[in-house]
Parts: sequence; structure tokens; C-alpha cells
Amino acid sequence: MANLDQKKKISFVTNGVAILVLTLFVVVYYFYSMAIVSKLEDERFAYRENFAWAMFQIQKQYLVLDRDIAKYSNDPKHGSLTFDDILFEYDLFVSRVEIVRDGSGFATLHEVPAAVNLLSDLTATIEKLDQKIAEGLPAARIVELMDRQLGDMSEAIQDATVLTTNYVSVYNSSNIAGVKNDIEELSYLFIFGLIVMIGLLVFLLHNRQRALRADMDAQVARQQQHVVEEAAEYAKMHALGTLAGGVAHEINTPAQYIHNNLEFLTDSFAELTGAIRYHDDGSANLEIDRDRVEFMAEEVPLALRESLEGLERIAGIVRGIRKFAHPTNESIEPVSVPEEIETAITLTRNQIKHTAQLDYSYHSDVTEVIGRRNHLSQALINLIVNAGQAIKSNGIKNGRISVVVRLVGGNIEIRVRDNGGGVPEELRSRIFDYFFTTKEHGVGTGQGLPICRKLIQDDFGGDLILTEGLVGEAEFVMFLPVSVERLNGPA
Amino acid sequence: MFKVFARLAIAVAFVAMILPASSAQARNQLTVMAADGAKTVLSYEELTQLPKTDVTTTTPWTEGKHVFTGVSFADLLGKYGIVDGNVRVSALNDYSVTVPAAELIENGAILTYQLDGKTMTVREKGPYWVIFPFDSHPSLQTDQYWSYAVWQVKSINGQP
Repeated sequence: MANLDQKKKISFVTNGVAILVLTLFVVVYYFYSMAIVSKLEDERFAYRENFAWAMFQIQKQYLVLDRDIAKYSNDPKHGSLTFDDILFEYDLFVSRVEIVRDGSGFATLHEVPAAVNLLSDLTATIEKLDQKIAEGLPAARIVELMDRQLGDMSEAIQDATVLTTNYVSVYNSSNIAGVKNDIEELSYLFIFGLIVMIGLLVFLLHNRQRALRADMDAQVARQQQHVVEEAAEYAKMHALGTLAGGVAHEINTPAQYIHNNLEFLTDSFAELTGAIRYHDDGSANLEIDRDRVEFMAEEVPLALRESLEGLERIAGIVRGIRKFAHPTNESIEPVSVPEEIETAITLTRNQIKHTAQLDYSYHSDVTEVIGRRNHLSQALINLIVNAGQAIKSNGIKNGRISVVVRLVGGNIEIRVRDNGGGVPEELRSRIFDYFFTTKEHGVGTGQGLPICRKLIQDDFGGDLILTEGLVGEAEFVMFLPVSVERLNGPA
Repeated sequence: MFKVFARLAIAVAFVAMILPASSAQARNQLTVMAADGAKTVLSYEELTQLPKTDVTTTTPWTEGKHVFTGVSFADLLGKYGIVDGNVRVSALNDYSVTVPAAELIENGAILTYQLDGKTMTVREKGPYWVIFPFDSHPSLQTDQYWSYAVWQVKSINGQP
């Protein structure tokens, strides 16, 4: 039971750890994937696709302005374009330059030296032209300045546009590689997570299965215990039935001589009262022979003492039966070994008295073991009755049964030995099997020895074995641990 | 998909940019054409008379946070009965983008006429600029919505 609790505790802890690992992994996976998503969004915010187009817009607007300046210069007064149109196109051009120069979404373009140089040159040129426009110079003069100062920048704008395109291409490739790498990492993480989750799932299922198996084992153990207890109770009742005749005889013998003694005492009393002579003066005397008085004086106390002894013997036998027949207590408690042996001997005395002589010796100062009351005497009764039956069935004339108790190491050893012929070699391995018996039908149930061993093992933490190597004799040894740990431990 | 759309939009802009700009219209006027063809020309002053909405946000085309003041498209389009379908937004250089009206209305876009409380010049992407609340709605920080953010707007045409 303690082992089961330990297993449950271990299962609980391992399940907790598994769930914790799973939760941690889910949290790590969530935050890591969110970090990658956030990174991807940042990449998107970089507005990378429009870097090249923004530079193209500068170039295109430059071409429009250049074309319109040429058109205006050919016929400033009567042409289709006015000076305002030129200034408008110039403003559009400046707005494109300022977007690329100042826009936060285009900051990456500052890594392209050609673009930086171009923006710097254009800014300087625009400042100069703006200054001239502010000075109020004639329109033709301003357009001429625009044509001259911007006209030289055609090649620089073209170079910056091409280099920006190259840069964007590399930048995009790098970004795509980064994104690909992030997605790969996420994929690996997902696969790893999947493996971890499957592993944990298998682990949890295994734990669950183990817990179920432990529960089933415990249930089977409880059922087995229940069956053993029922069988033990049945065996006890069976033993009582077997012993009843002998016990009745044991009671009958003292009852018989108590009865005879009481008849003698009744007769003696009647004789005495019949011998009383009463006189008129109120006095009385006893007219009886001196020999009779002396006989009564000697025999009456003897009869009384013998009767009291007989009653004491009957009371002892009744106590033994009451104790033995009493339902087994569930509690584990100190059990007196001598008392249990006395009970067993008392109840089996008549059973074996015509078959064997029983010798009992106790060689230990330790008298108590921890276990269940009655189960020790029940096992001993079984062994003694078995011994008697073996001696009788084998026709042994001088049957002997010995019960010897010694303290060996931490155990009280009870050796029950008989000279009833011993246990044949081929049966030795089977005598502790349930439902195995060598006795005639109706004599044995085949549960005595296995139940005895089970009771000693389960209730006393000890064992019952058959001694090897004896010829013509059988010896069963009970080992009963003296330790008190079982008293304090779980039942 | 968005990238393709953005490139197409910019390509259109490129074509538009090389075409001559119209000088017939005053450059701070806004033309609004309803889906039924009714045309209205609004001056800067008339536009500022409409309910005012502020959007504070960063954009890829500016440095730092700015306060964009203008009229919400919910009010502007509602005033001219443009409640569904598409809207073609055209710029001074004839660059134009077709935007679903619902995108402008439901996402709180405004037609900006002031940047940090000042009128916007052409250089400052004025006179009018379509702005979405990019910062308060990060889901708008995509190529698709950036391509809707037309600056130097001159006309808004409702399309059935």
C-alpha cells in the first residue's frame, strides 16, 4: 500500500513536471513566433519595394522638368507653358527630393553613397535656386539657372537611380533570405515542438497507464486479501469443527470427575446430616463411626480441590475456544507468542493425544511480535493437526511432535517438527499451492498451508517454510520479525 | 498582391508624371464629382468650413509624428452622396488611384489640408493629402494603404 502511494506520488510529480514543460514550451513558442512575426512586420514597414521607385520618381520628374524648361526656353512669351508651370513642375520635383531625403520610410536609402551624394547635391542646388527665385530675378533668368544647374545632374541622377536599384535588389534578397531563415527557424521550432509534445503525450499516457495499472494491482491485492481473509476465516471454522469433538472430550473428562466428586460430597453430606441426634435440652450430637469421619475429613477436601482444578481446566479450554473463535481483529497489535502457542496446544491436545506426544519448549526472553491476534494460533493449530494426521495416516507408533521457539537474529523462530514420515520430494514444491492436498476427500481443503503462509507473511511480515534435507520427519519453520516498525507503519 | 498593386500604382504615377500638368485649374481647388456626374469645385476656404478632423501619426514620407488636419472622408463623401462604390483620387500631376469608398470611410481617412496647423504647399505634398490613422491602426501600415495615401490631391471622383 505504501508502495502504491509512492507510485501515485511519483506519477503526480512527473505529470506535473510534464505539464510544466509543455506549458513552458507553448509560452516560449508563442513569444518566439510572435517575435518573428513582429520582425516580419518591421520588414514590411521598411517600405523596401518603393525605394527604387522613389528614386525613379525623382528621375522622372527631373526629365519632365528638363523637357518643360527646354520647351519654355524655345518660346518663353508665346509658348504653351508659362513660368508658373515651370515653377509648379519644379515644386513637384523638389517635393520628390524632400520625400526621399526626409521621409522616415526611406532612411535605408542613406546607406547608398550615390543616393546620399545626389540628395546632398540636389539639396544644395535647390537652396541656390530657391534663393534666386526669392530674389525676384526675371523668369527667363531663373529658368536659365535651373537649366544650367540641374542640367549637369542628369548623369548623377541616372547613376544614383541604377545604384539604388541594385541596392534595393540586394536589400530585398537579404530581407527575403532573412524572412526565409525566420520561417525555417519557425518550422524547425514547430517540428521540435511537435516532437516534444508527442513525447510528452506518450509520457503522460504512459504515466496514466501506469497509474491505472497500479490502481488495478491495488484492487487485485485488496481482492486477494479479502479472499485470503475469508479463506482464513473458513479455515478457522473448519479447524474448530475438526477440533470440536476433541475439545468436547477435553471438557467432558474433568466434567465427569467433577460430577463424581459432587455425588460423593452429596452422599457425605447426607450421611452427616442423617447421623445428627437432637435432644430435648436443645443439644445435638453426631452418631457416626470414627472411621467414616476420618475418611470424610481426608476425601472431601481432595474432592473439592480436584473439582476446582477440573473447573479451572474447563475454564481454560473455554477461554481458548472463545479466543480462537472470536472474529479476527483488523488491527495490527502486539501479540503474545506463548499465549498463542498455549491456545493452539490446548485446542489440539485431544486431537493428537492418542497419536503423538507433544513437546513444547520456549527459549527466548522475547514474547511479543507485531501482527494480528489469533492468526498465529490458527497457523500453529494447522501445523500441529497436520503433523498428527501425518503420524496417524503413516501408522507411526511412537509419534512425536515438537514445538520449539528460539530467538534467532531479529526473528522469533517457531519450529513445528513431527516424525510422521516427512514430505515426499516430489510434493515439496507444491504443498504451499492453493487447493493442493494429499489428504482424503473431506479431510483437507488444500488451503491450510498456503493460508498459513499468507497469514504469517501478510499479518506478521514473516514467512513459513519447509525445512529441507530431513528424512522421515517434517519440519515447518515460522519466522516472526520482532521489529516494532510494523506497529507504527501503515496498515 | 499588395506589392503588385503598389508597383502598378507607382507605374501609373510614372506615366502620369511624364504627361504635362494642367495649368487651367487653380492649384488649391478641389473638384469633387458625385457618382451621378454632378461636379463641385471647392476652394480651400470652403473645404475648411466642413467639419474638421485631426489625425496624429507618422508616415513613411515624413519625419516624426505630425498633426494632420482635414475633413474626414465620411463627412466629405457623405456630403456628396458617395457612400459606396469606388473613388478615383487624382493628384496635380494626374497620378490617380482608385480606392473603395468604404476603405476611406471605415478606416477613418481624412483629406488633409493642414500639416501641423499650416497650409501645405505643393512641396509639402499639398494642397490636399489623403491620410489614414497609420499609428492608431497598425493594420493600415501596408503597401495597399500607403498607395491610397495620395498627396497633392486635386480631384475626387465617385464611381458607380
